[in-house]
Amino acid sequence: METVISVDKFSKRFGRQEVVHDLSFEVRRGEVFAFLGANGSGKTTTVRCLLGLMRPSAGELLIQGRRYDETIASRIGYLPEERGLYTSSNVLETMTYVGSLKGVAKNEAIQWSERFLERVGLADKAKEKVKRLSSGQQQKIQLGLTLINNPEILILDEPTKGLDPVNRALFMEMLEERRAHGATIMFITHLMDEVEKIADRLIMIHQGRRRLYGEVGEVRRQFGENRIHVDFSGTLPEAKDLFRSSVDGHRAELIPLDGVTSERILEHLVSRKLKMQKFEIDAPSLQEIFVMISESNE
Amino acid sequence: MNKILLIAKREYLKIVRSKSFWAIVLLLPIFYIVIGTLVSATAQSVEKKIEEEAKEAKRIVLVDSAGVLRDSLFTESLERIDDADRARQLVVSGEVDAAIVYPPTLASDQGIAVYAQDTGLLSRDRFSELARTLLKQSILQNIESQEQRELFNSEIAVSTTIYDEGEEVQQGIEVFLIPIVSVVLYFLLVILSASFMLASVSEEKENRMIETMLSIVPARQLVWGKILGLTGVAITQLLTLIAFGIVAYNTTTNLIEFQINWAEVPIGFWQIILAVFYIFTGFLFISSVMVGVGSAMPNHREAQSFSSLFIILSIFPIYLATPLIADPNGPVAVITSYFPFTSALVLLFRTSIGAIAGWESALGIAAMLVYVAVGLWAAHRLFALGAMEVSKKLSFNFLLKHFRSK
Repeated sequence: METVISVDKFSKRFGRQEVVHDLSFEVRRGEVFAFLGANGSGKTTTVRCLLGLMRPSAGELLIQGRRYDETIASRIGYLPEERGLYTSSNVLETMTYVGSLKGVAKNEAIQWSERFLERVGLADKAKEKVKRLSSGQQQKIQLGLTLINNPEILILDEPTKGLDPVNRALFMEMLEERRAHGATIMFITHLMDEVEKIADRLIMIHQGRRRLYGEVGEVRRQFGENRIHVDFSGTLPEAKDLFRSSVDGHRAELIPLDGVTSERILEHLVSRKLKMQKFEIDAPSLQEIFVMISESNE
Repeated sequence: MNKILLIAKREYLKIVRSKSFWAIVLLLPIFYIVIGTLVSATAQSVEKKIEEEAKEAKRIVLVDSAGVLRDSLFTESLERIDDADRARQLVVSGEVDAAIVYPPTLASDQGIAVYAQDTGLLSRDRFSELARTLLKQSILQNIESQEQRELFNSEIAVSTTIYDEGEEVQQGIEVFLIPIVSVVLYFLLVILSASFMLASVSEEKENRMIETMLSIVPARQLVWGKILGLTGVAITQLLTLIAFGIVAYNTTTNLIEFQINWAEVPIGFWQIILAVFYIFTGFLFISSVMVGVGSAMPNHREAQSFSSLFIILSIFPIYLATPLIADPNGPVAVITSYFPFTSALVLLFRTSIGAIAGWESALGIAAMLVYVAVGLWAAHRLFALGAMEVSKKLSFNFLLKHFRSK
């Protein structure tokens, strides 16, 4: 599959402090790619270097095979983490202005904006000053600015931050539409349910270094063999050389020790004649993986 | 270029559509005229008040140790006594409004002594004029010739003709018209435009729109778009002020007898070209400083207070007006001609009065171009850096650490 975004051996230093170290990943055409990491892990810095807002200290960051320049800007929709609007301008003026800067003809920008405002329930606010809108309404306008040029590539930094559940659902629906139209979407988020719902692949960085990278299901499976859920009758036999356990009534979560397979644990429990209603190898949620990696100091 | 024009158009319309812009452009000259009139009227009314207070005095004692005062000048309220100490005591005890003591020898360093009741800060000197007038009139009465006395009392006109190396020097208001207009334009255009530029950059940062904008348009284009838009604003200001000036001139010449002989206004081609150059480069330099300040500060309020330092530096030549006018080629003029913040205004002034050599003009042009180039370069850097630090003030350490990277 064609690579749309390519980050190769990228590092970024601020003075003596290295905030991103030797980072490499690719985003493929038409996929939804999640960019994960704790606060301060270097995600926003990576995106800013990708978009030419900062200069990388080392490595190469390419979009469609070339460094970011203003000619690519018309094909990209970027929603930054630090986002805002010209509060003293009116809604339609702001949308048309940004649309024009992105290369959209003025009439087309006006028509698109009116359709968008209709869809997000803000048709009556078109002539309203932005400062009179609520923060949720302003976020919808920011999304409009991101999408107005019908971008092939969407780069979104915490796009649903601060949105209520209804607007979050509307936002996700619009992203799905963009994806259905073949757009490539890279988004930074801390909301793992969003990732599990729409992302095809992900990267997770910690302290500026890559910790996870691959398809969502595969990443979960990599961590999956580490826990087994068991429903049982009687007493769970101990086996300190095989697993650690946490028991809650007739349910237990077993965490295999290093080098111990789930088959060996099953054989052990069967040999001890434990009556089991369920023996399930469970992949941990992305939320759990995120917390695990964020808490590790490696 | 298209993007620069789009940005320029937005910046221009945003400012020109605002009521505050028109309020500033139209009301500022009116404000200055009103303030000037008020100051003049206040001074006149204070003088009048002092005069009246002096006239209202019921009893003034005079001690004429020199024997110069003529009896014919003594009115009802004036009374002659001999003892200076007693005269002072009469004032202390409140029996008289004032005592004027003339020393035995007026030609010596010892002057006239006035003792008076306190009637307020401004009128403490109210009897000085009376003391002088009595003395002058008394001396005058000693002059025998009626013709001489009339001449002494009349307003004698004085006309002066000045030559410089054999050439008569023009001294009418016409000679100073170009320097005055140039300096006033510099102030109104450069200083006002600077404040608009500061507000524009602060708005991008304060509204947190800057990162979105920089992902669409390079910092250089965004800054140039703003400068172009503000140039349009400056031209609009200029045209408005010219129209305002024409109306004001026509109105005032009908009301007061004030005429400018346009034929005597010395307008040189290169003088005008250089004036435009210095105003424009001064505008670019101050704009670049304002871009830098707006980028480095987290909000407009902080940016405004920090920028006042640079505004004061830019108008500093006003405080040096006396040495600059007295000696336009002196050390003060030369030093301030090459200091970045004062350069444009001083060179503009010196050029408009024709007090600058050709080689110095060339040096001035080069200096201004260098200042503008360095200013714009630093402004772009600060703009790109400040964009990513929306809620922070850029510290010196931060700048040191990041200035080399984008």
